[in-house]
Amino acid sequence: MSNPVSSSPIKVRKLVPAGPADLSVGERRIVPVGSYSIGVFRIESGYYGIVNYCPHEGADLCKGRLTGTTMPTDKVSNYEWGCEGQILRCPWHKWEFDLITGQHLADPSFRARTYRVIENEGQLNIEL
Amino acid sequence: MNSAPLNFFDADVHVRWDDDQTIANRLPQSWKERWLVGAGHTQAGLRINPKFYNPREPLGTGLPKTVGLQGVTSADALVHEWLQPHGIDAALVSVYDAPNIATFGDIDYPLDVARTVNGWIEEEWLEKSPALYGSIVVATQSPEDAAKEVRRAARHARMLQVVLPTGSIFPYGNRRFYPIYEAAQECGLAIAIHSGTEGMGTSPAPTPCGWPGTLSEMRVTRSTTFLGHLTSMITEGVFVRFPDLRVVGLEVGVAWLATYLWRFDKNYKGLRSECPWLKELPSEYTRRFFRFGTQSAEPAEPASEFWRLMASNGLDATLMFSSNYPRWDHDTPAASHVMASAAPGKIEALKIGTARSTYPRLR
Repeated sequence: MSNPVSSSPIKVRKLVPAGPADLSVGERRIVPVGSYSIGVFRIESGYYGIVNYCPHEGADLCKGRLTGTTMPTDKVSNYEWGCEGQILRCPWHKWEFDLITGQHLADPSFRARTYRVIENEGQLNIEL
Repeated sequence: MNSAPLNFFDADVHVRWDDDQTIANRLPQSWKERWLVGAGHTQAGLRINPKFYNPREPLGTGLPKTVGLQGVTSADALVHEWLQPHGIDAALVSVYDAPNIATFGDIDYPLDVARTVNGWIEEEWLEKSPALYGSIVVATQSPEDAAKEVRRAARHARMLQVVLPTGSIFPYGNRRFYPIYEAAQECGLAIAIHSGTEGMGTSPAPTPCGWPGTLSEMRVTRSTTFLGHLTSMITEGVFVRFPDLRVVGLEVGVAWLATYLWRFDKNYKGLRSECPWLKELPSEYTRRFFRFGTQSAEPAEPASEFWRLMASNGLDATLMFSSNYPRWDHDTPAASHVMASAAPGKIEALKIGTARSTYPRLR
């Protein structure tokens, strides 16, 4: 499984090596990048990167539980489970983030930065 | 309908009969004796126990033929002794202790008392003066029957709201109350939650930590009962299900709410998954769906601090003038610290603007 890679080299920014592409679905690896770190997650649809820093109070976001959630709905008492394996909950206050978009589910003014992860010849690279 | 200009509205005035026989005469025969006398554990009239000793309560209140300062006893007196001298154009009236019936253990007596009191409001107040608007009291023990009574009483065009007491066996976000909200929304009525009945009848203890020893403690902590209802109604989705409903907090304070909403929003951010139907922060729902009477607003020193707190959460636009006349702690417009300290640009909203955005039938 690999993420689509842009054919235009102009769009490829700095790449940070993130180890071998050997993670199973649901697994993660936290990669130091200078003064901070980025979590690389393997989910059903591929590899995704997200900053290991919660925009709320700075917890190690990527040490949180990867789970699903009750999907936003217009109907009261409609508990529909979805996004299984795609919701990252901060270990401190349990804020929910969409791993793919970085969006906080309760308050759109919060977003964790996400990164494209490129798989190439069995190796992962984070595009900064 | 009232054709006189409506520029100043009083959202909370209490009325009452001056003789319990007045209501007895309107009740079905089966309930007359209970209403007038009661027996054993069965309480008479609107009386309900346990009741706190109230040093301000006029002697004899609760006995037949006495009214004390529970309420004004005639439409004529209300218009000439309250509205006209204070330049108020119209008032929304309710019977102060009628919501007590929602905390009786039985169902049929409260249902009949509610119907009777609502009929009395219509005939003795709304039909006596076009300046008066009414509140519908309901027996929440049977929400389906209560909804029928809401639809029946709402046939009078100047009924504006359904009034519920803060003391309740369940918080008002509980889905058991939906039939009442459905009827209210359908008829264009607001829901008022008025302090009272905390710890009485079937209500739980009047403070979240148990039984206080004095009326003083109960009065101060009343806001906590209301905040339980507000939190419940927002979280359990009442406004998602009934988006045209507006809820008025009367005699529950309001300044406390500004900082409480900081807490409510904070917790929601971590617990959204429990209430996935919410689309905005709880503070947004509060601003949009709740209104508050001015009479119980907490005075601050200096007064500008009150407004700073209100504005910090956009709550200043939720306020509307309420007097609580003729209760001992009522506010005249001149004595109201909110009215006295409001910026000139806010006066129109306090007098009428907020009321119009609250009661669909007033638009």
